[in-house]
Amino acid sequence: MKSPNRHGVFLCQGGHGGQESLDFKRLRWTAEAQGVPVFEVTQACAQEGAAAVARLAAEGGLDAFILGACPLAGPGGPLAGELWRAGLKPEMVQHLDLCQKPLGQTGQCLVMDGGALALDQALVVQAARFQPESREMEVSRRVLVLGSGLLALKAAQGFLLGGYKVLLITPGRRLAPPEPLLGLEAKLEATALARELEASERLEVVPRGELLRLAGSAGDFTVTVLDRQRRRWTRRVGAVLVTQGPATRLNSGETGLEPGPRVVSLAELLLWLSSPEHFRKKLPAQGQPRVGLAVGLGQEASPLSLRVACLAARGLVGELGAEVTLFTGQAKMASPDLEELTQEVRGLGVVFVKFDNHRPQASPRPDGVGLRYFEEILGRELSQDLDLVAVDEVPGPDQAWRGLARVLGLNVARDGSLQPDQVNALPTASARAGVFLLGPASGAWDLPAALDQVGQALAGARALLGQGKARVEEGRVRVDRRRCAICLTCVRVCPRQAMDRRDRRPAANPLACTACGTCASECPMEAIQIAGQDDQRFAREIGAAVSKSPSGLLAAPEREMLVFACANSAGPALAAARLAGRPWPSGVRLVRVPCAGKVDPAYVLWAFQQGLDGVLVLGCYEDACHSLTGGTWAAYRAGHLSRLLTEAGCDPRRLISSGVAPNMHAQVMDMVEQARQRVEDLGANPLKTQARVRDFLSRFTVRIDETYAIAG
Amino acid sequence: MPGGLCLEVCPAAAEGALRAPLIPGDRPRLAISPASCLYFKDQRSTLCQDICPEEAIDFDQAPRQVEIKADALVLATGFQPYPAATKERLGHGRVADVVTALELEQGLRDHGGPARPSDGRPPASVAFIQCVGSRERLGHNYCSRVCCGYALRLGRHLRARHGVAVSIFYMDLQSFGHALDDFMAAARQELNLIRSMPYDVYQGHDGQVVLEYQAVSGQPPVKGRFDLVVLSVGMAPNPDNPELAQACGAGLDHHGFLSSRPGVFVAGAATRPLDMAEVVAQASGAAQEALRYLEERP
Repeated sequence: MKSPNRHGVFLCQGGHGGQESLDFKRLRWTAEAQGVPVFEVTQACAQEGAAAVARLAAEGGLDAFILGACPLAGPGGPLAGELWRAGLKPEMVQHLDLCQKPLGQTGQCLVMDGGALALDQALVVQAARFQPESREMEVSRRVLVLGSGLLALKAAQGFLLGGYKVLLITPGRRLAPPEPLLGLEAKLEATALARELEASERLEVVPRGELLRLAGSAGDFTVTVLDRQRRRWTRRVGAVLVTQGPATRLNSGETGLEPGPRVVSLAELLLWLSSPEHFRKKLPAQGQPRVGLAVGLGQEASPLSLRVACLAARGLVGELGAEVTLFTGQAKMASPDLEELTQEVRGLGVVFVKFDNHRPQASPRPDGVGLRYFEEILGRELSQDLDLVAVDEVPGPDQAWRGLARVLGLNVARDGSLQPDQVNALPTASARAGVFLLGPASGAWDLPAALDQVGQALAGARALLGQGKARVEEGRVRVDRRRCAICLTCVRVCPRQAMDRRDRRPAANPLACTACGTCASECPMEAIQIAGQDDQRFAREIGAAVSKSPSGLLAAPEREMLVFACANSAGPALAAARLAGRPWPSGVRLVRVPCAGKVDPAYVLWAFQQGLDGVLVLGCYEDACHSLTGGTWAAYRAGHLSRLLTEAGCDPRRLISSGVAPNMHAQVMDMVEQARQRVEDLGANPLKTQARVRDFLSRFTVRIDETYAIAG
Repeated sequence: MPGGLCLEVCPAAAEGALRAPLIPGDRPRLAISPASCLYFKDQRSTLCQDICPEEAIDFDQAPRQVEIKADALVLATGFQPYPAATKERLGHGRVADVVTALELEQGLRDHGGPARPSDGRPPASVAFIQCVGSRERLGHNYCSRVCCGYALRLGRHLRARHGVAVSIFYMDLQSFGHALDDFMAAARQELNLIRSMPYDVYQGHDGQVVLEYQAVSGQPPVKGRFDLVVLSVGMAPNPDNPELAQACGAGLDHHGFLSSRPGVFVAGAATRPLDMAEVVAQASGAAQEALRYLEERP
């Protein structure tokens, strides 16, 4: 690991030559005060200007530099290409937006006010820059697949073909067990696959095995398994695929359809239908059998349930000449050819009764079930006597499933899946890097969708494990062993469960870690630092954001506000808003963070202590966070901080925490403007004067300290 | 100047003849939209071509044939939003304040709030009509899967952020995802969900849009008045899929969607209506298939 030592600052004068303004001179002085070489260019947003920047950077032998210019010269501008051409890396540039009014507007390019402070902040960031060294990490090329059905076998086949080893733990005794809901074709395919795979030497099957423990993290898990002979052993695996789902119960909701001889599940009905001779004996001997099928009357159903109900209805009419009524809540049609299947079934005389706001009520009859309901389209009460009712199923309470989730380190959601309610986890990711969820484990019950997921999980696992070696960044997350009290807070808060315990100390697995910084913010001992994003840097950056004008002590300065912007959501939104020509509001300073989870409450308190009048934290929405929990942390900390601020005599309304999406460029500046307005209304931060006096006094303190140092 | 010179000189930039994406790093940086470009209309303006220092714009470029040798082919040609104007009855193109959900979303993105096309005022009431170009016996006889989800989310957004009263006309709500029951409970509370399909849409005298629909069978129809009507258009196959399938040897289903064949892999919503997460899954799967095909080839 090394820090770049040759920095530089490029300042764009804009498209006009001639007299340079005082603001521009201030920028140059700010950089020069830090002892950094300053280059002046014109039109860095144009090919020629960008080429000049690249040439000067190459000639100066710079490792990194700041380009202070308008947003047009920023990412997406011509500079990246020019740097490539000059044999330099585009990552070396830190774009700094310094322009008052960007884009297309003709006329002079003016420096935004507060530009010198922004440059000061950028210099702090520059000094803390960190270029990680990459190293090779050995990962296991064995994959654990949990399950035994078609999905598990498809996944196992994919890995075996890719040259991986597969450890298959099956809940039942054999592979390809009956999966009545998936149909005969799926069963045949699964059986053929099982026969094909069993011949492979790289497949190890543990029938009725139990997963006792999953230690470690992505690429380097250790699984402890209890097999049928009650032997306990361990294996190293690189990734885990969960293809099974929780046990189910009837989706009766409030209808009173209790399981019994006359009320069964759709799966059971399908089994009965596979031998119509036996089935007929279960029904009354005389007359046309009357069968009700119920789908989605409790919880919302999946299209799979409707498909199965339609197939059952077709069988009932065709094999038994039954009179079939299909009772459904919202009929979920969104599956290939399901619309046509329902039309075909209706053509056979199956009656669909749809419920929107009402539900039928069941009452037991001798040898049957009575259903009373309000027919919403006709607008009246109806009742029906049925010989048999088959109901769809939804995940039920399942202790074994909960136990498995606990071993995997995941939570069971209300829909029975193990996936967090996060768009960024879709389609197959879990809250633990390296653990992939397929089919019911991810909430996808429909077969076409689940089969697509197999390919996605294969791609994800293969990208993780490669050919047994992965390139990772070294030294991104540092744990100070002297400070660490081994409280394991970091292990608990890591949204990707990337914190391992090595040598009985926490250590981040670089393969799983996204350097969101949640652990660093939550560590009660401040033992964890993210390289390039450490507390010292943020303290200095926040300090640099406050204006230090000597007149500030006496004159009433303008309100100053700090915006912590998440690099995944607020960052792109603000950049796009600037590209669209929105001016940067005066008195607002920006601090970029990798994730709202990195906004340590201490940073917010520092900001107020430094005399800033307001703080706005812009992170992802809670259910759309790129590191899964950043938005949740931001909301939680906002509550905690407002209590602390009240105690400190600072109005908690000065802290605003808000979610934003990366495509909200039209709204994000309004959010900033509203926050600024509120801060304006609240007046000056009462701690401001103190901060200024402290700052004033500190100038003398430093001198005294230096004297002692020399004398000592 | 990127995003500068041509944009500055284009006389039809305001009509969207030249577009620049707002997300930094999006490609292409600039694109000409033939629909509003004056050159495509009557070859009037070549200002952008004349000024571009990089000579990146060339209106005289003629189509040419390029031969590329490849061992496998991936088709990721996507879908087209159902052309709403073909449903004359629903008023798109005939009644000013009838827009597609896509148009509404573009307006929300570019202007930060909803606006009526007729007078630019924010609407106080909005009606969504579902299944436009989906679930039709004659035509697109399939569910497009995504429309109910986006209409419910847009509706909740309009209500929460802009105080709009939202009604949604539907057949069956096709909503999916985690925490669905919570989401639906909230949607039912916030939105006026009406299980009926309006059969007529016309301009009212007071500037509002009138929807006629049957609330309960056997009773007289209801006339609903709304400031803005949004058509939830479905996902339709690209019209040139048959030619593409024939040229590339891909499969074509009876709806007009494509399917994979050995050596020709179809990725994404070209195969069937899929939501975002499913598209990611399906396309990764197609990539895996293509990879395996290449690995197994002698």
